[in-house]
Amino acid sequence: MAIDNFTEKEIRRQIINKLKPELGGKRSKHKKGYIYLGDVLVAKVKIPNDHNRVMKESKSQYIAQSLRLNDDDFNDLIKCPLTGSGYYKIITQSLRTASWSEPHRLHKI
Amino acid sequence: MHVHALKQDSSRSKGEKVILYNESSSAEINAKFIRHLFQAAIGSSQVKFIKSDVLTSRQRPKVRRTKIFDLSSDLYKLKRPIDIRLEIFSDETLSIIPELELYGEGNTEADALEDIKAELIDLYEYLNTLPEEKLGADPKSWKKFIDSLIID
Repeated sequence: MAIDNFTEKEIRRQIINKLKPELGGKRSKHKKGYIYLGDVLVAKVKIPNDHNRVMKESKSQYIAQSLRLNDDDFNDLIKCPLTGSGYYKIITQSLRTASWSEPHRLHKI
Repeated sequence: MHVHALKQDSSRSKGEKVILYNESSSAEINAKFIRHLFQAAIGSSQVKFIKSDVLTSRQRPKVRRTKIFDLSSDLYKLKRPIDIRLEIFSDETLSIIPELELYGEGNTEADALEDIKAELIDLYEYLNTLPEEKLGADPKSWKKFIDSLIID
């Protein structure tokens, strides 16, 4: 299944509201969200700006992969079924099972 | 100035709306009003909206490789050129460093390359605020890679 069409604004809102990442980024035009499990930084995500245009599928893919979510889980995150606590269960599980020392999944798009 | 339009189906009470937007602002307009306007102007019996954003969102980019040789910064220098993957769409370009899971973006290739430089510096500065024990496996590998690229 592919990632659905979402506006940049929708993606931004759900990442900020549900995942509550630590926000940073001073140089770039975009905020960054840093995802922690406990005290440990485990992922980062580039947060889209507050635009109403539909996000390019390619960029949505990068964001989903940054969050360690597959297409279905990313769709659920933005459309609503996936809660913030549900997300943290998924990333905890994926960090236990996946080896991120392998070539990054970004190569496989 | 370019203005884009996106049609959205909204709640029944508000009816369909069209969002007109550019980089800095947006406005919502009732879709019926826009239809009447076009019908009056061009005499068409039926005006259909094409979701141009949706069409371009699935567009396949042209892909090519380039390098950056500096960070456009007085504070930071590169130890060596960095390979960048460019994804070129009709209306936007992405610049990507897969090893760091970073991408920049812009209307042009030059804008996208400037953005990835800013992204790199943001990541470098952020990782340097954290002690080693607060870095998970991937952030550790990003830090190792980025430290091999940048000199303060």
